[in-house]
Amino acid sequence: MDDATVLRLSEVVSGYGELPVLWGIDLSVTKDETLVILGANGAGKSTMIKTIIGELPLKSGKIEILGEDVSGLKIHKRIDLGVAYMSELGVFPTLSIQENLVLGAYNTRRTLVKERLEEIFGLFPELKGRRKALAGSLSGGQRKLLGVGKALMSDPKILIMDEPSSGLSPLYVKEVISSLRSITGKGRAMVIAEQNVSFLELSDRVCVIEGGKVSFEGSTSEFENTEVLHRAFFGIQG
Amino acid sequence: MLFEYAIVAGVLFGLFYSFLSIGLNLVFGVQRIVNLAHGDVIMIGGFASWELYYTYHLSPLISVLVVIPPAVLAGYVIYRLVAGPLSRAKDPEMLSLILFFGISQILEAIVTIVLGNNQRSLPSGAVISRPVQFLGQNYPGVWWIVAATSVPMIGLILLYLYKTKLGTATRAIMSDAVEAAAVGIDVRKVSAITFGVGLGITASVGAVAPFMLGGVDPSEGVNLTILAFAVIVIGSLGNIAGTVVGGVIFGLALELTQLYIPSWSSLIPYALLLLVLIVKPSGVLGRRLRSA
Repeated sequence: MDDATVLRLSEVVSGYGELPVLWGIDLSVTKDETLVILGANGAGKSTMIKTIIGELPLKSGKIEILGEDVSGLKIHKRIDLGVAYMSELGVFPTLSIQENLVLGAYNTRRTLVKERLEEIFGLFPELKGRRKALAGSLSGGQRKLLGVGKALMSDPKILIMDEPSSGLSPLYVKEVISSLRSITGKGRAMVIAEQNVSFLELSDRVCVIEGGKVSFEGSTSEFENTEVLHRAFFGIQG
Repeated sequence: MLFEYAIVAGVLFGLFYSFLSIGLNLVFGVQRIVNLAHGDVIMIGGFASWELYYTYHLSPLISVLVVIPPAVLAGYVIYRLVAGPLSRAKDPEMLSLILFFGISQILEAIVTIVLGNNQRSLPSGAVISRPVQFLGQNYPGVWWIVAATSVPMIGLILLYLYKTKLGTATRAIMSDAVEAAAVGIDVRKVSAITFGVGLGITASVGAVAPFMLGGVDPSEGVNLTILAFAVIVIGSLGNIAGTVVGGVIFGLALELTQLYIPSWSSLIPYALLLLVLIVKPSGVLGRRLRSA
């Protein structure tokens, strides 16, 4: 693993129960890079994200985060290495907005948490005025923004997101993309599993999953000129 | 005057019922474990308090605190032992039900073998012997003492949950365990501590329960578990603050029924439970959150 690679998957096989969903995935992500994992429903995107963060166990293969083999580590140990994960739910609905954000920095020094909280409220001012409100009282779009804010609280080296657009209206998808654009780069790698191609606006590289296997991996411009896009998302056979 | 008496007694007993039930809700909230041995832990706390009073002349009000550390430790160890099988189970709630039913039976059998099956009581003089006059009525002083003990003990649990980092982590797990792990919380460790805290507070209420229940006997566990379950469902499952409301509602319902229709007194609180389940299944303090 070279210095720039922050996440590497080698021959990863994983799934639910006895049945594999991912069949030998190889993938790497470098520092500063935004990788969008595209795929239709059931292709294996969420399985891949859950396997990376440790929610699903590996059946075989290896996962390395910042040079460390994390294949046998539990979720919280992987997070400790500098990973933040935003699930489809993204927030704790029964906790307040502020509590959600503070929990995002669970293993961060107490003195830094207040500073980060103000930074995040600066980034998402609409959350600041409602800091005491329950996260569950927010609209779907606001929850996603809170989820992004929560994930950023730990100042992660790798930010992993599972379908940030799910359940959102097109207007809110634009807002989420715009907020993510403001945090791309800056020494942070981002991995976004999506089926909404609008997220290609953010990507440096694209990985397409079809039937639990990588069917395309390359730069965004390469991807836009390939038939994979048409096959995977518009049902057009090349 | 009798009405006022029932209201005051209902609130005093209600606070006690809240104290009696809060550990069950804490344990349920964190890992969806239905602790059917809850009442047996209260019973063991009662026997410990009885033993400490008669052997070491220790006031039950001190025993309220003395029984906590061993119960926390026992809870931590039990959780570590059962957490693995539960996390691998396809239906962890059902498995927990069976597991803790077994633990309940074992605890009752052990206490019966060691101490016999006679009821034992603590004299109210162990804490206060004189009655307390309030709004022109005399109440047993021990009711006031137990209610006054319940309030700070419930307060301690609320402080733990809302003002400590560990408590916030506990509430995060109650909200969503996977999401909690994803912010770096060691879910199994925090759950084990919370299970210990839940058992600690439950053993603690046992130390004063004989004053409110007339004594302590090895077979009381089942009834106390059912009572506590009714209180937490009325208040709101998984909502700790709801337990306080549920306890007071239960206490008031019981006392008012005993005053006006005493022959129905064992029925009404549970009828109330059914009513709450039909009208507001999430409990009196159950909150509705936006679905998106």
